[in-house]
Amino acid sequence: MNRRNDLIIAAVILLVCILLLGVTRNITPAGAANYPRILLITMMVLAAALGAAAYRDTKRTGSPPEPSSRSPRPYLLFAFCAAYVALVGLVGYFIASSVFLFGVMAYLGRRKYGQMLLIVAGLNLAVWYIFMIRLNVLVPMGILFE
Amino acid sequence: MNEYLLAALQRALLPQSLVAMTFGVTAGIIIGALPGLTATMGVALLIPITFGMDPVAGLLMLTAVYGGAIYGGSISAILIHTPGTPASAATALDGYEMTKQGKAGLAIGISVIASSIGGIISVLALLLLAPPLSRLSLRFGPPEYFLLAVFGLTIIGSITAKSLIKGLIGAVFGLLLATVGIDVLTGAFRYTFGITALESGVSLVPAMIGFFSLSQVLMLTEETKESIVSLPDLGKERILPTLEELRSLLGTILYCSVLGTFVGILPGAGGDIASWVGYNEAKRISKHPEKFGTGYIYGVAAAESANNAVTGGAMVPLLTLGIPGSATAAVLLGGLLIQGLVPGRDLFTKYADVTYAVIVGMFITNILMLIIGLVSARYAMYIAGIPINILIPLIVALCVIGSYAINNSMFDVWIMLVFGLIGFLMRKQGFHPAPVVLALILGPMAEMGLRQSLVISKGAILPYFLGRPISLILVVLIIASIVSTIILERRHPERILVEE
Amino acid sequence: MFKKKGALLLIIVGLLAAFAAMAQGYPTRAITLMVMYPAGGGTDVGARMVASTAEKYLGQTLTVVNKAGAGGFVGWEELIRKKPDGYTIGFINIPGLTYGYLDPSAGRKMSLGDFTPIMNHVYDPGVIAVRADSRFQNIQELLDYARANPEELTATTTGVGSDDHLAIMQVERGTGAKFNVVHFRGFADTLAATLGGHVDVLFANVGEVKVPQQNGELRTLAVLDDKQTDFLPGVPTLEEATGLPVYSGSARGLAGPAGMSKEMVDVLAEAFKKAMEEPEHIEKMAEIGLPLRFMAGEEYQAYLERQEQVVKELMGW
Repeated sequence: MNRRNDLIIAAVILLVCILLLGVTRNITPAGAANYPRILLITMMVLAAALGAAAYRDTKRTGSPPEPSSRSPRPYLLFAFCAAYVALVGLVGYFIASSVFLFGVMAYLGRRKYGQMLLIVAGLNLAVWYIFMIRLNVLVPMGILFE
Repeated sequence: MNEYLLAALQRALLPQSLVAMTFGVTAGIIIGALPGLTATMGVALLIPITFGMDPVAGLLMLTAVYGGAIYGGSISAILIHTPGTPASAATALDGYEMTKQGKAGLAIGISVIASSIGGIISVLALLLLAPPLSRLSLRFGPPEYFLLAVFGLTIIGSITAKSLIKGLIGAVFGLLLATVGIDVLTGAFRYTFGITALESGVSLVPAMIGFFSLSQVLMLTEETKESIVSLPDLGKERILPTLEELRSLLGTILYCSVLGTFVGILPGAGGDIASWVGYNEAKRISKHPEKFGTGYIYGVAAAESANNAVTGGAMVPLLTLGIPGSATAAVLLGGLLIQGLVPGRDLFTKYADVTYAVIVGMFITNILMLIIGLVSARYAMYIAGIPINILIPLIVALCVIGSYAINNSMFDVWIMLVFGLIGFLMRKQGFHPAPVVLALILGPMAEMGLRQSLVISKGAILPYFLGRPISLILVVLIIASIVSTIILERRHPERILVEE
Repeated sequence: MFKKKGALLLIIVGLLAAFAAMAQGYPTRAITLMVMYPAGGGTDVGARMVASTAEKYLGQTLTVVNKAGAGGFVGWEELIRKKPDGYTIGFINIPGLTYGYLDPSAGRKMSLGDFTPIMNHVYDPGVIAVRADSRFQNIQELLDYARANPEELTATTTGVGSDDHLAIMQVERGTGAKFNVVHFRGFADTLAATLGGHVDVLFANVGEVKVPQQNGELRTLAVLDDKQTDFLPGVPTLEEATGLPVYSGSARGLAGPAGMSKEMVDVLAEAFKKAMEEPEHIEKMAEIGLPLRFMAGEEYQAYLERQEQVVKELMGW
C-alpha cells in the first residue's frame, strides 16, 4: 500500500466532506440534514485517522517506492466505455456495441478479424433475442433514430 | 410449512424452472472458472435478464449462478493456481499441488462433490432457520433494524478491506450515497442537485453492476494476456474419488459445511471468508495438519464445502430481515426487489409459494451442479482458456444493456459507469466495493430505524433501546465485533487479507 | 399575398390530412403506456392487467413501459413533454402526483393543466386499523383516547405526502385527536411495525388490509370513504361511526400530455371502461386487493381538482 496515496485520499475526502457539509445547509426542512451531517463528520474523523496513520508510517519508514503497476490501460478503457455509452444514446445499442466491441478487441491485441466479427454478431443477436424478443424489454435505439 | 413444500417442489420442477437452473449453473460455473469474474459480478450482470421472467425461475437462475460460480472458481484455482473467484483462494493451496502431482481430475471431482454437499446442507439450514426467523422478524422494530444495520456494517467494514479504517470509510461512503434522494420522513430533497432521476436515490442495481462488474473489468485490463499458459490434460485422469476416500472425507465436508453456513448467515461475510475458516478449522482438527498444502484432498474438500455452504446461509438474513449475508446476496436483493418481493414476513406468508419454490429449487440446483460439474470436469480446462481480450468488451456491453434494462434509463447507465470508475479507483487504493454496496442497502434501514426510534421514544432513545431485549443483544454483538476486530488487527497486522 | 395564401393552403392540407387520419380511426398503431413505478409493484401489476384486457377493445397493442423514479416524477415529467397524439399515455397516482407538484420546496414546474385526464382505474379508500389484540374496540374509543392523550399513540404513514399521511391530518383536524406520526417506506413496513406492536395505529388502504383482516391479525376500525366496502364487510365508514366526513384514498388513473383531443380521450376511456367491466378483470383485481372505480370526463377532472384543494388546505400552500 502506498502511504503517500493514503495522505492524498484523506485530503480529498476531507475536502469533499466540507463541500457536502455546505450543501446540507440548503436542505429543508433542516431536520433531514442532521443524519447526513453526522455521517459527514464521522467520515472526516475517519479520513483524519487514515491520514494520521499514513503520515506516521512515512515518518517511520521513509517514503516507500511507488508500486510498479501503473498501466494507463484501465483509464483508456474507461474513456472508451464513456464514449461507448454516449454513442449508445446517439445511435442506439446495436451500432454502438458493434463499434465498441470491435474497437476494444483490436485495442487489446486481437487480430483474428473474422472471429471478432462473429463475436460482434453473436452479442447483437443474443441481446436482440433475449431482451427484445423474450423479455420484451426496451433496448436503447438512439435519439437519431427515434 | 409442509403444505407448501409439495407445491414448491412442483413449481421448482416446472420445465421453465429447470431450464433456468441448468442455464444458471452452467453460466455460473463458466463465470466462476474465468479468472477475474466473480459470483457477485455474474449475478449482477444476470439480474436484468430475470426481469421479465417468472419470479421463481428468475430467482432460481440467480441463485444457481451464485452456487455455480462459487464452485467454478475452484476449477481455475486447481488447474492454473489462479482462483477464479476470491472464494477459491484456499482451494488453490492443495488443489494446485494435486494438479502438479497429476491428480487434477480428482481434485475437480472432490471439489464438485464437496461444493454440492456444502450447498445442500446450507439449503437445509435455510429451510429450517428462515421460517421461524421470519416469524421472529415481527419483533424487530425500528430500533432493532437500526442496530442490525450497524452490526452488519461493523462486520463488513472489518473483514473486507485491507485496514479497518478503509473498511469503515467505505461503509460511511455507502451510507452517504444512501441519503441521496427524497427523505421519506420529511419529504426533503437531499443531494439531488436538481436532477429528477436522483430523487428516488442512487439506482441500486446499476450502481452494483458498476461497483462489482465494470470495476472488475477495469482491473482485468491491467494484466491482459492473450491466453493462459499450459493447461493440464485431463483426458485420462480419474475424476471420481473412491468410496473409501469419500467416506473418510465426509466428516470434514459436513463440519465445514456447517461452518460455512454460519459464516454465510453473518451479515456481509461471504464465500471468501468461509473457505479460509473451513480450511483452517479442518487443518486444526486434522490428525495430519502437516499434510495440508501438499496436495491433500481434505484441504480441497474443506475449502469447497465451506464456501458453497455460504450460498444458503447468506439467504437466511436476506429473506427474513433484508440483511444480505454476503456481497453476492446484496446483489441478489436487487433481483428480489425487481420481482416486487420485499424481504420479511411476507415472503413466508403472502409470497410463500414463491419463496419455498426458490428454496426447494436451490436444493435441486445443487444436485444439478453435481451432475453438470462431474460431466463437464474433463472439459473444464477449456473454460479457463477463454482469452481475456474477448471477455472484457463483452462484459462492458452486458453492463450497459443490463443497467439500462432495469428502468429503461440512460441515466442509470451513466450511474453504472461512474460507479465503475469509483469502484476501480477504490480497489486500486486498498478499499473494497463490498462495504459500500452493503451500506447503500443498509443505509436507509439504519437511518429510518434511528429516526423512527427518535420519534417513537420522543427523543429518549437510550432507555428505549435498552428496554428492549433484542436491541440489548444487538448492542452487545456490535461492541463485541468492534472490539474483536481491533484486537485481531493489533495481534495479526499481516493476517490473510480477503480480496472479495 | 402569395405567402398568406400558401400558409392558408398548408393549413387546409394539414387539416385534411388530420381528418383523413381520423377517418381511419384512432388508434392506428401501438400505444405506449407509461407506468411510473417499478415492474412488479402494485401499480405495475394493476396496469398490466387492465392494459392486456383493454387491448382487445382498442384493437391495438398497449406497450407497458416502466419509468420509475422520484416517486413517479421521472416518468410524469417525461409524459407531459410527449406529443399529445394519443400514442403516449401514462398512469397518474393520486395524491402522490398532486402533493409532488404542489410542494413548493420541490420547485416543480408542473400543474394539473399539463395533463389530459382520461379515466380513473383504481380507487383504494383509506382505513384506520389496529392490531387484533388492541385495547381499542372501535373508532370512537380510539379517537377519544387520542384526544385526551395527545401524541401518545403512534400512527403509521407510508411517507410524507402519502394518502395515509393526508388521512391522518384530515382525521386530526376533524376530531381534535393528535397522533405521534411515524413515517415508513411502504405498506410492508407499516404492517410489520403494527403487527409487531412497535406502533399503535395503522393508517393504510382497504386493499392492503383485506388479507390481514381476514387472517385475524388486524382489526379495521373505520373506512375513510362515503360507503362501506365489499373487501371489509361490517367495517363502518368514519362518517357512519363519528359523523365526520373524511374521504381519503389513493387513486390510479390514466392521463396523457395536455392537449389530447376529446375523441382520443373518449376512445381510450371507453376501451378501458369495457375492460374494467369484464368479470375476469374484476375478479383478478379483487384477488390482488385493488378496488376498481371508474371515473372519466368531468367527474374525474373534478376529483383531481378536489384533491388539489385538500392538499393545499392541509399543507397551507
